[in-house]
Amino acid sequence: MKRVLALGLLAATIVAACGGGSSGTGGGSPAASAKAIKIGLVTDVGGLNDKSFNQAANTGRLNAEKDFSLQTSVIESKKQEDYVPNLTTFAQQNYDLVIAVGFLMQNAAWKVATQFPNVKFAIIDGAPANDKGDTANLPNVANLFFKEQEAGYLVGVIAATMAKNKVGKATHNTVCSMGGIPIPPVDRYIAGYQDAIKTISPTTTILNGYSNDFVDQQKGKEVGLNHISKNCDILFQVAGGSGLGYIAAAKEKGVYGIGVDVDQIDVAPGTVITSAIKRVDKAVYDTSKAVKDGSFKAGDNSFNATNDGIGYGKLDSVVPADAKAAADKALADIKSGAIKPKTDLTVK
Amino acid sequence: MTLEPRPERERGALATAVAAEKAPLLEMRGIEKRFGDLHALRGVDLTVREGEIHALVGENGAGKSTLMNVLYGLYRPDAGAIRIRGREVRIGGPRDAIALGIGMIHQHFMLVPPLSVAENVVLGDERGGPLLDHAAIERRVHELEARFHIEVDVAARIEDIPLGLQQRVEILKVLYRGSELLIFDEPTAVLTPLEVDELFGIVRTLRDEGKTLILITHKLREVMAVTDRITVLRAGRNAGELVTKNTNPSEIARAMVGRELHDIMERTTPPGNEVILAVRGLEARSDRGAAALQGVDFEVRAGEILGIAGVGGNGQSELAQTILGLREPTAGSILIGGVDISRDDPKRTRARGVAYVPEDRHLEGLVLAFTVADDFILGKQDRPPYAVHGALDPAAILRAGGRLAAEYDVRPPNPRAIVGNLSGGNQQKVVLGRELSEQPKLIVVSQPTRGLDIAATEYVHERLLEQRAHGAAILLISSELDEIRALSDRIAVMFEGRIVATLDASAATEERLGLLMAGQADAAA
Amino acid sequence: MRQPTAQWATGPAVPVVSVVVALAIGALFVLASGHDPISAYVDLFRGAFGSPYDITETLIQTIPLVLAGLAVAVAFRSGLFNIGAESQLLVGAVAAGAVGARFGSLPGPLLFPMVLLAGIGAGAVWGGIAGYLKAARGVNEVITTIMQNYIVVFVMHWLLQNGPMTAPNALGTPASAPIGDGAVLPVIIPNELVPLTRLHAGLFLAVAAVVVFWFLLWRTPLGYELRAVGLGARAAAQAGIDPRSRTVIAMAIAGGFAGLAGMIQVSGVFHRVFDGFSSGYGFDAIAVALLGKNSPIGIVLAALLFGGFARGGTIMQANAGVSSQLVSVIEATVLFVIAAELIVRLLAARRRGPKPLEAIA
Repeated sequence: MKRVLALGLLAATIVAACGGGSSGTGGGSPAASAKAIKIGLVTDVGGLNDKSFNQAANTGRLNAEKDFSLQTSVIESKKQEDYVPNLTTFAQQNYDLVIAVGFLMQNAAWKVATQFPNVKFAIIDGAPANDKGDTANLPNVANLFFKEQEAGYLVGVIAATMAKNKVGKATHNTVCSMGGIPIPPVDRYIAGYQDAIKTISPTTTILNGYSNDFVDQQKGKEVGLNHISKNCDILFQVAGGSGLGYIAAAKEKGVYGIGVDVDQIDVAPGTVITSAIKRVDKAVYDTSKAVKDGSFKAGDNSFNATNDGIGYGKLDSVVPADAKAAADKALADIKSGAIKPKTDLTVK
Repeated sequence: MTLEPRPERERGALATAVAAEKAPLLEMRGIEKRFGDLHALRGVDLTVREGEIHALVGENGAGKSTLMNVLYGLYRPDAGAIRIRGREVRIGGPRDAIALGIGMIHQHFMLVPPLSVAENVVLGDERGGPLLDHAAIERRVHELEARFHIEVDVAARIEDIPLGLQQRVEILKVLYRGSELLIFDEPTAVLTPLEVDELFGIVRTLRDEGKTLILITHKLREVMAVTDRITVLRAGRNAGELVTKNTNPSEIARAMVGRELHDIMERTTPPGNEVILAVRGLEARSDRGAAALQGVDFEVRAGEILGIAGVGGNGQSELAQTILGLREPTAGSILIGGVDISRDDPKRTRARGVAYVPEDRHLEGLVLAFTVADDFILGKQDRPPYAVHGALDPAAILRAGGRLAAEYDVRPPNPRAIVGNLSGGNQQKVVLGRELSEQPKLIVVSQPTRGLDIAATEYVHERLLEQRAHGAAILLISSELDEIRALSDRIAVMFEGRIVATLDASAATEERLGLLMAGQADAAA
Repeated sequence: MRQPTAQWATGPAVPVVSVVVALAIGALFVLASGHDPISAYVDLFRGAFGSPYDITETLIQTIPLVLAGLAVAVAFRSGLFNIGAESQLLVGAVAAGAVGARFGSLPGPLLFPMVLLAGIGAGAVWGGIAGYLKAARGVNEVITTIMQNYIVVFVMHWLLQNGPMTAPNALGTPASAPIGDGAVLPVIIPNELVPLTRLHAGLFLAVAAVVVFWFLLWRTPLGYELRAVGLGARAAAQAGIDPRSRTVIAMAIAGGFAGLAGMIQVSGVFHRVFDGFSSGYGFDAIAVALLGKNSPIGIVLAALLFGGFARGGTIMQANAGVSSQLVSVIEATVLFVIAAELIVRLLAARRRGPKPLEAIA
């Protein structure tokens, strides 16, 4: 028995050592002056290394910390139930600004923001939502929205041009997309993407699906393999960590993928042809600056093509010059108002 | 590579020392040893002369093992001197002891079961280099065998030979290393009577060939039979130095115990007529599935002690376990007061008035980590007064523990003491207190005094005879023939799972029992 | 009778030493990662106990650790190594979540006892299965409970992702529908006192469970029997205490404690079941039980320590920038030191076996 005990202990030790969850980078504490402005960032369950908007938000935090001599911190949420306590943790320590990363934290942010009216909050991709799910503006909360449809439209132009002209491996005139969960910011990306394709190449087949997850890569990969089996050869992911699995499916089957939120060209070089970018880092950076300047604006704050809040990422060499030209023209047209990408899905 | 052994005189300081001085071979003077609060040795002297068999006797805890561990280098003495042939030596470890020609034959053999006798004999000896020359080893071992009249098949594997032969391998091992002074630690504990006789033959031969021997024992019969002089220790001090031929067992025992011993209680009352336990055609298997009991029949009456003699491993353990219900019989019946209990579990068996003193106190008799009070109620924990309305009554348990500890002379008489910290004798008193306190009808007793000192043995025997006088039927299983003969009304001998003979105690001579135990029923008849 | 307090008093040295050693080793890691260990530990402590809110969050972490720790300890006391507290907790949570959601419309006085019994009962049955396999088939409980952990994780995954418990609109991760209001353990501290605190009435259940644990083991015949089997199975057997039945009972009781932990997490904290429900409470519980020497007070103190680590680690990461992985390092080191002590004792016990001469005194 004792030998088994020792073995079990060893096993338990290993389990305990490995079971700590995903690793995270810590926030640096600058030479903290007594009255330094304190800004806290709470990630959603995707975590800091999601190569997507949590990571982008953290980049914005670090840039703001450096440029404005702020004292900043970040807490990674391990599960949804952590949102309220994590936001509360910053609020009860009298942080000046608490940033909730992600639409999923709308209700948590509402709860904490109403409880701590003297603390400023910002929600990326969302507005405070009460327990019934109704959103309402609060005097101490900035709602940081992006026009994702504009970014989706830009990569949609590139995908449509390539599909239409059967560039490289895109030979089946079929493009597709996968969201994590059908929530507004996700669907706005996809709506813009589909709008561009319908406009530029009406004959192209469009597929769409959801992994119902923002974390699990395996689920994203399953959807991706399914799409590829239906002749899709350009895959646009809008699913955070889960979307990396979607890209992995494209890489495995030798077709193309499009990244989201941040520039994901390095995720799978040769597979990822470009990325639909929303500058979450800019939103965090700008909002932090606003708190420092005293120009913090509660309610909706829009980040779009006009203020460089969205865009498209680096292009793979396979992307032809005419596709890039088309995308740049579309960007100019969006800025000028000549094009207004749709916000509703064409293909569900 | 050479296996040619160096001449012994190069090996041992004993042989090279100047013999002319005629100093004793070994002198230990004023040896002190403390373990924390425990003052184990309080200035002990020991003198052993060359070529004698010297008995080192004493009760458990008297310090004889500590003294020998000091001599063998396992403990450093706090004070005192060790002289070998008059020359003072420092023994820093067993290696030093061996180099000085001191060898130890351990009670628990230090042999490697899958290796051959010859390989075990040379094991741990640095001579010979990394490769073994089997022919040379066997030749050398044969020489030793011939010189000391020790017979073992050098090619046999240890796991295939009986304990008695394994002990000879231990002796050969020590001789192979050139030891002049051989320490035997309780050498007869695991041997059958026949093997004991053979061992004593070897011991005498060793002495006659010039070796010196120290025999650690508490069996006075063996002391009388084989030794020349005796050193008695008591409570870490010298309690007497005797010449064997000028003394007698009671004088030695007095020195060991420090007082007169009681005579064993006379069995004044004859056994009753009522059959308490009747075992009929009982068969059972051992843990390994071998047929351990092969048709056992006997009866025990009220007020009678039936002794079960036999060499260990002939089914005695299985017999006790089967009666108690710990082992399922494959055939036969066990009747208590006429009711068949052969399929009852221990709880139901015990409910019929059966008490059990198991052979292994530590594993089976007691929960060592429990307190005295807790161990006293083992098996009674769900009954009043210890449990009332489904809850234990700690005060009642403590009171009962205190009362029984006093009644059964448990020292210290503290019901909160942890049983594992008590001496063997006091542990056995806890078992007896638990098992005998409720007027059992049948008491199954297995090896009740194994490892106990004289006083504790005496105590156990008195208690068993007291139960007999109260009319309990007692089944006494023991490998100690003296114990069986002293206590039993009748003696049954077990051999290979059967009762080969049942004798009246008066007719059971040691020789007859010895032959029966060895399976030679014809010769015994 | 051995008093639990006495047991704690007999050996706090090893637990304290192991924690100190672990903190020292942890400090080396902090230094190696270029941070200040003192400020890291100050943040760790402040994060765990720095404000009323932090204390309530620490307690929320502590509650399941206490209960799962009891699940490990009751098995330990009975001579069994229960590696399966994690799966017993999850089974209890799933049962509680299923009953709480399925009968969500029932009033609290009816629903809550149902959920409570479902959680405890499911854990007990699940634990009892490991006990039965050991008693009837001789299968080592370490193996079965480890295997059970895998079974539960995957069955739960199926139940929640595409199975009967999947909630239609679960966001983010696979999850069940929320339990009815009647099954919810209320928050026990007014919002005015500690804003947004989640500290729930499960605290009282945990305290009650500790008392039950103590009473059962040291004040009932069954507990005596479990301890007797745990400390000397053969002695217990010859005295009429059947070790096999006690093995089943012990594992069932263990499962019951762990199942209660799962139920409390559902009713008190999450109000539903989801994938990745437990953050390894059942594994940390092994360390809690060992560090707490399987005694009631010890388990509570050890659970508080680990609960504080869990809570404080988050804050330490946020403020000092030291990875919360440090907490895992410290916890693992605590376990390692305790295991090392066990191994030393094991070796000492083995030495006692074939010792050259009979023991002195």
